[in-house]
Amino acid sequence: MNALTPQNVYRAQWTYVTPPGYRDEIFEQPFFWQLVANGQLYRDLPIQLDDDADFIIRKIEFDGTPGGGGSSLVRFRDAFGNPLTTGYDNNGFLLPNGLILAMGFLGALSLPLESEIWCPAGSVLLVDLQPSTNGTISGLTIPLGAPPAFVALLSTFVGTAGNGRSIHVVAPVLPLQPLTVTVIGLAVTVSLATDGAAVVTSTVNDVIAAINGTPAAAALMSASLDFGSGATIATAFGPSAFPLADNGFSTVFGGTLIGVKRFRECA
Amino acid sequence: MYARHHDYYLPLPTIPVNGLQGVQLLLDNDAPFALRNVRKWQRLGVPGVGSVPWRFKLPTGMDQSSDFRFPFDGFGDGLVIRPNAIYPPNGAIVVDVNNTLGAPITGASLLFRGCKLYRDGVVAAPTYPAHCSLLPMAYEVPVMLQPTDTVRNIQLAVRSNADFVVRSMVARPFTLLVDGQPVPPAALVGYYSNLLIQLKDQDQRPYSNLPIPIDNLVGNSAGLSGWPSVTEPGLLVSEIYVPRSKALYFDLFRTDLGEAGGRPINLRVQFQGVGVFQR
Repeated sequence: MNALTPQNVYRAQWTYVTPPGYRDEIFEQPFFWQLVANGQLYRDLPIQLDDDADFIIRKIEFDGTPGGGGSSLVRFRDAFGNPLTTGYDNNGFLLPNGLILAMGFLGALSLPLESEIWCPAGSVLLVDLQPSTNGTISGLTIPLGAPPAFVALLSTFVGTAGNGRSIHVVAPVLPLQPLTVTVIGLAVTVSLATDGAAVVTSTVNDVIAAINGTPAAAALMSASLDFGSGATIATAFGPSAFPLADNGFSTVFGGTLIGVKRFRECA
Repeated sequence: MYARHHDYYLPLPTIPVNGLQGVQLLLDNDAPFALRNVRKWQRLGVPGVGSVPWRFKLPTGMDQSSDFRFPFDGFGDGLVIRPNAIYPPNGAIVVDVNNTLGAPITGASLLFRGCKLYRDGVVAAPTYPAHCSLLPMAYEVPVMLQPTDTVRNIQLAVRSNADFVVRSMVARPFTLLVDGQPVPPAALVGYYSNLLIQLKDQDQRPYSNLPIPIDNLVGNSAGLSGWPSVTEPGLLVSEIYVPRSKALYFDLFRTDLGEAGGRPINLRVQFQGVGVFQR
């Protein structure tokens, strides 16, 4: 009878038995790589295991969100090249799913592995890692209206490639003006619509739609309602330049393999 | 006998100041239900979190508790029911809920997790081959969701080289950002507040009576959704065995109106478990 046929084989680690003639000692193998987190794919990052004994991995802890930046996609292979992650949609890349930032770093693989992974002495595990940039996206959140609704403006490119944008929302003094969007270089100017008494009639939603619906402006920035009512009548703002963004920088990714070294007992 | 993971979700009506007595959760007629875990849930932003003590009746009709449970109990990993309470087909779980807020409470619910117990042969019950090798395995399915969105029949397609046994799940919004590349639509830090999931097997047979708040099934290591914020992968009990080249399906229902700022999210739903390689 197959011992695995009982339906649930998820079991506590202490139920694993050391084979006769061997001695298990708990062992942890830290690993780390210094990488620039810029969205680049890093292939075949090695984890070299000791050559004094076979290593039985029972848990992998992985810090996929170092330095407070973005997270990473990761793909692990065991000592024989077998992938531990797979899928048709993503070539086996998955999130290690750590808690964000300072709350700690429990990963998707940071739970007991069932089954344990046997690695011969001196073998190498390979990891593919694609960290999201820990740089920034240039953007600005602007208040429009009274009480204000807040519009989030975001550059259309990540990092320094998206720098240089600015926004200016103008309330015309003339009556019967249409809502218009003009773009000169990297500067976007929104001129609000007015009625016959020169009172502004454009809402925050109108401004958002105008920016997103004007190809030249949409090529520079995206607009969305961040907080408040989009039906609020918009008011003038700016001109104001977006803060400068940075590209990703070098940081340390790593974790720990946790398991046992299996030593052969002397006869 | 085959034990199949099942969740019964009970959205509660508005709980008046003097509570609710005798709320019935009607169970399906296809199999007995072994109750193993009970947890409480409430929609983010609604007052009354932690003010809904509850208790329910066991199959014998006896109350599971001599009094209402402490209001904060039942969040997170919930109450483990051991030994399991086995309800008959077509039975009902009767629930009493109290209200310690002093005002009506809306948006509260209870989740009863366990297994349906089928006689052999009633439903498909794939299992491990007589000789096999096991390797830890994880699949991940990315899904783009708008603030108000329904996406049905999302497929987890298992590869042809090995069966896959699902033992736990996690889900988290994530968008990969690459320096110098266009900003994807879901780039702003996004989260969900009201996201429901319904898991289904190859034959579209659901693992729950209703779509359930996703954190109750998958856990959420991002911790950014509404209460409760489960920080460990959600365990499926019992595990779900998916033969090679077969599939699981799931539906997602998102209704984040103002809470998430109206942002789309790229949700990555991860299935964790073990690959079964036939020898």
